Amino acid sequence: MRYVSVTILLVNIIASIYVFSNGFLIRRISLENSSTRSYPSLKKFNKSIILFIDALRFDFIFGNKNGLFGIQILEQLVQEGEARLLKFIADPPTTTMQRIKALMTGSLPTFVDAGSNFDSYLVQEDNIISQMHNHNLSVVILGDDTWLSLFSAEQIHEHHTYPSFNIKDLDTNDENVDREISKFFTLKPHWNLLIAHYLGIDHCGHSFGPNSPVLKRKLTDINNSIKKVIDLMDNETLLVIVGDHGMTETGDHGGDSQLELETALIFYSKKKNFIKKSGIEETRQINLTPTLALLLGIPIPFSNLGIVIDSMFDNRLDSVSANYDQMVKFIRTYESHERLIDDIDGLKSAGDSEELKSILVKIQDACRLKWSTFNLSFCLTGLVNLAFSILNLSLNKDKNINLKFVISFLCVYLALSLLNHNYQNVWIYTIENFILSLAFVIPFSNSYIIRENNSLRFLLTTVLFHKIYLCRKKKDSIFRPLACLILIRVCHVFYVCREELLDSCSQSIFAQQISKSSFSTRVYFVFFIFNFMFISGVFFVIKTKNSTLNLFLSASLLILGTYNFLQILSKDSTVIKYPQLLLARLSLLLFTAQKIFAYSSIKRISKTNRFFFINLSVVMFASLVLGESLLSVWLLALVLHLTANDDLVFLFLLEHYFFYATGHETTFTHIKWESAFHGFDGDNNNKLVRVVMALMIISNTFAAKIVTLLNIVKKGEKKMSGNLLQFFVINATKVFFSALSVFVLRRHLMVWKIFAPRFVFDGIGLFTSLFFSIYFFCLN
Amino acid sequence: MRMYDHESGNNLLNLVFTLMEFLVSTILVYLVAVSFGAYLIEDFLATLIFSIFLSLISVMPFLIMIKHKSPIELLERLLFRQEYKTNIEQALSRVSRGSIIGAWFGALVIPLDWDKWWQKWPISCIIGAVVGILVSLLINLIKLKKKVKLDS
Repeated sequence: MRYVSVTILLVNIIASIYVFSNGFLIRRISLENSSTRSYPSLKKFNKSIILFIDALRFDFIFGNKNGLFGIQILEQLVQEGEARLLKFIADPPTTTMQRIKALMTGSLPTFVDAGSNFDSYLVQEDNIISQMHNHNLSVVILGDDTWLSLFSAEQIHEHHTYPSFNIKDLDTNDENVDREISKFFTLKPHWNLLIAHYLGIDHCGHSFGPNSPVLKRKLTDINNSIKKVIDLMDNETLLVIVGDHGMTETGDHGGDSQLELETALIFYSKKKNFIKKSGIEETRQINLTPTLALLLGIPIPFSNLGIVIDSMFDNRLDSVSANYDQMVKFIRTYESHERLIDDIDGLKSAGDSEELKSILVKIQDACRLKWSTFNLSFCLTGLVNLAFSILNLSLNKDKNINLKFVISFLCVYLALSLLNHNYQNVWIYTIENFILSLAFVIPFSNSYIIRENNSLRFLLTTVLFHKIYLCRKKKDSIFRPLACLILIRVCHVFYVCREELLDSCSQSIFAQQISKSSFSTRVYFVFFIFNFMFISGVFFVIKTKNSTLNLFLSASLLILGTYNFLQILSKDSTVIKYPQLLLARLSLLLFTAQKIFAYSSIKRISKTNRFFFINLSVVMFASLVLGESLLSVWLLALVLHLTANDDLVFLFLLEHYFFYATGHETTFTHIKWESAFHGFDGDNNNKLVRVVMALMIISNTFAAKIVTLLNIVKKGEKKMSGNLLQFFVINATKVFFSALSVFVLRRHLMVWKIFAPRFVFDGIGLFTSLFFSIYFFCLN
Repeated sequence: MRMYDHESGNNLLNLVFTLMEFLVSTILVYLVAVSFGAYLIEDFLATLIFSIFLSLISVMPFLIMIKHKSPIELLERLLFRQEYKTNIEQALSRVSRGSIIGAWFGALVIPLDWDKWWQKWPISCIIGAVVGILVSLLINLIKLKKKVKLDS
């Protein structure tokens, strides 16, 4: 009966995480097709300048009562009917990177744009930059370096970019852009699309807010920049001034409030009779993409969902039907992957341009509904359900599951136990629980997430000093906690650097990826020797008396060792690729054989032999998959050996910390994809192979978790199931807090960059630990 | 460790040994700070200042005020076994614990991105330690008053 209730609760936990992430993480498949059909008859300009003004809120254009706002030149041009101003409505998330992506592809970027490549932020979809490149038109980019992380440098003719991270610096970027941009009118006028990204206003918003006199100064600066560009440009050039998002009253952005969404779009050209309409219209931000593409005479990007601003064209019907053709093609291609619109047959081509436009609006709205709104009821249901399942699970009648986790949950435990009369005894638990609560609170602050490795080390060290204190009090030896302390401190050499910390952080040689780093082969020989020592150490530990088995063992280890050795050599040559592949496959095969042999013939082989096989298979798999993290996992095993197996809070912190200390970070760019390619080629479409590859990546990423679980199973034979369950409860609590943090901070500037990825990693980590807990449980 | 009785020695020797004890305790505090995450070498001066400060306020008073044969024995008795012979001993160890806990809390603000001058290592820790001392002095005062009342 107990098993049934526990199973139900476990399923409930998984289900509620699934429901939550369905409501929170909006997904989209990014297609890599590209459009080929261009419409030369609609082309109007050879050259275009895009002045990309970060955080240009719509009301900044016109002066207000305080006299803080207003960009004179634009005001003047709009009033004289020389330029056309549109209210430009962005889609959430209103962060610069997502907005650039939207403007260039015409799509609605979501958090997870599932593509074939997670390795970088590079835009995979068809976009204006790549279309320009394909048509031999040159693109120049000045300003924010975000553009370079989105578009490959090959497609860009020339770029002068500057970091955007320091929000205190209002001027450097803008001054540089101003200086560079004038060169492109005089010295090197051979470009077709010039994008100048001004950051000053955005930085001013973040640092001082929109109601400060500093903003006035920045707006005047922008005014001067625009004036200069207008003076310099010739009659055949189109000037487009766009804002990517607005800002709230506190100067932040990222959410979906009106102030953040409303920005401005201005068209200007010295060409006669280009602007035909006055009055301020509203248009969606992505509508610029097809308009710009058609005006420049390139194909509309394949995944575009924007609706062309047809009043910019002489032949309205042509422009709309070009847009229609592209969009229907996209929808039909997308539908073959995932359902999008219920009534796809209703998208029949009609004659009138207004009718066509209404169909396009229908498609756009359907996609927006699917891709850009949080489903709050799903989020809340998931959260509440998760909280209840965890509470239920920890209040389970089993004595092993301690009440203390429930209470430390709310951090109130500290206050409660201070009131407790039994001062001395409670204090011991309180310190550990207090630390645990702190570990749970980490996901609520982006600074702590960025430095989570160091924060966790700080907490772990505190626990260890507390242990030392307790040991001395009981006059025990302090060797174990002291050794753990040193081992944990040493592990900082395995940290990898997050993007946010690049200027203050340097990766040691131990954290370099074998396949990517540029260090001399000497370093790899050191690594190889470590690996060899490790393997031979294992050999002596699990050596048996059976000579056949020993032969088998040494053969397997020899293959593995040779493979590792070849891996180091193959950095510079491709000649030995084939034997390398063969050896890796052989060791994978041996690994499977050992597993099957160990478990299928439990009764026939002795207990020591079985132990031997299990250990050997673990070691083989580990040294195959782990690569450069092997050494730190080895250190983790050492620390685990020194700790008691029912000290679950400590084990939890340890496992959590060693996720970082094995050279991982909670960002998608730090996943070690190359761990999947041991024994497999890059492009393999076999489903089974894909599953094995995914398993290899997960084993690499969550190695610390798996080793810790293995340790709990191995040592605590009596109370094993209780310990496993309790450990799972702590992990689930961690996921609960991560989910709560992303939910509460869903309007935060950094939600898609820092908080949401961490939640995703925690979630997948929980699935992994559930899977391996059940697996290990069943094995015993 | 040395076996030296403070009571019988001459003053100069006393001074020398106390200074040596102070030096050792500074090194120990330095190592503790490193184990909590301070750089071993890169930020040497900051860590050194912190460890001198902390050992001055949390170790030095014992060395000066309490007669002892070996500092290890003193540490053992006051810190781990918490056997206090006099009120002064208890008050002193309360202050020293207060400063350590305060410094610990001070470290929590270092990673935050507020860009305040006091977030720089070791300033926040030193401020935390001072606050810890003040709080424990206050507690000392209250407890002492209670005792005086009880006695009279």
